Amino acid sequence: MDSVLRAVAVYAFLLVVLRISGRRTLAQMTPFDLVLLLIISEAAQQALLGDDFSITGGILVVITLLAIDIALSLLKGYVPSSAKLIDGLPMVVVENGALLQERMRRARIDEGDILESARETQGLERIDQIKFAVIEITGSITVIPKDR
Amino acid sequence: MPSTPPENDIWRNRTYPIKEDMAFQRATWRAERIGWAVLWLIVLLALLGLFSHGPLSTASVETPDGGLRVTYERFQRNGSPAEIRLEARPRSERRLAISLDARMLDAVTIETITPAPQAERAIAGGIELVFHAEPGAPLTVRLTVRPHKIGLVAGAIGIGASRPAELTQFVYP
Repeated sequence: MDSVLRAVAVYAFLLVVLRISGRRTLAQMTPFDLVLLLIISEAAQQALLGDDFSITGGILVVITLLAIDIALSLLKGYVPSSAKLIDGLPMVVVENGALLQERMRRARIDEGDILESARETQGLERIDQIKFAVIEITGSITVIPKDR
Repeated sequence: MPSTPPENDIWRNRTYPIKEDMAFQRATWRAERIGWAVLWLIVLLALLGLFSHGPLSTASVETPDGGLRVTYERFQRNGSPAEIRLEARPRSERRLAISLDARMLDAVTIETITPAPQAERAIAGGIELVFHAEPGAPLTVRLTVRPHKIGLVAGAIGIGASRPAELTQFVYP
């Protein structure tokens, strides 16, 4: 019983706290973010297992986490508004070569982030070559170039 | 130089290439900002000791006759060791008997007792620890306890036959 409750509590906590911190926080994997992620997982691991070193304990936690994950994905399928709540929605930040500044500020991204993604994925050099740039629910920026 | 669209156009819902819901998005941002404030508040409260080990958490009580002073953590965490300090001031006794009641023993595991008692025995409603004492010299006993019960935990610690000190602790999951 204990293992299941621990797993549910940690899953719910992480879901809320990662949603609060915003999708950009851990989406851009700088080396520091990678280390931060490892530390977070280490801290959460203690809470998940406590001093239970048994195989059963580990299996129960893994099964519970996966079961919640599957249940949530089913819920998202049946109730679309729950998906919106859990994952958020994508948002346009560049439209026909124009930056939507206020949106970018609120989403905590700058022109540099958009240009970086434009260079990396499309080989573009300037904002005016972009038709659309979209912040996806994963936090990454996707770029659609203008027709040349 | 990229052009900037007019202010009122910024929050219009785009339907292409993706379908937006900017009202929801802005509500999300507002919730996010509140969430950050809560995170900072939790950090501050943790520094102050709301989640054990800090000024808000340290508390002490005395037995009604003043013979024993108990310093303890008001807030503890399940499975995480905490210290309880007992300070006695013997007058002429060479032996001091400190008693812990059963409610406390049900809620925590006593991991270490320093100095080690000369004797431990079960008494009605708890246990008794007997220590060697020098008359007039203060005796300090440190207990390391590990809570295993969540929520409000009450207990009583006494010395000799006098009325014990009552203490209440809250154990976080």
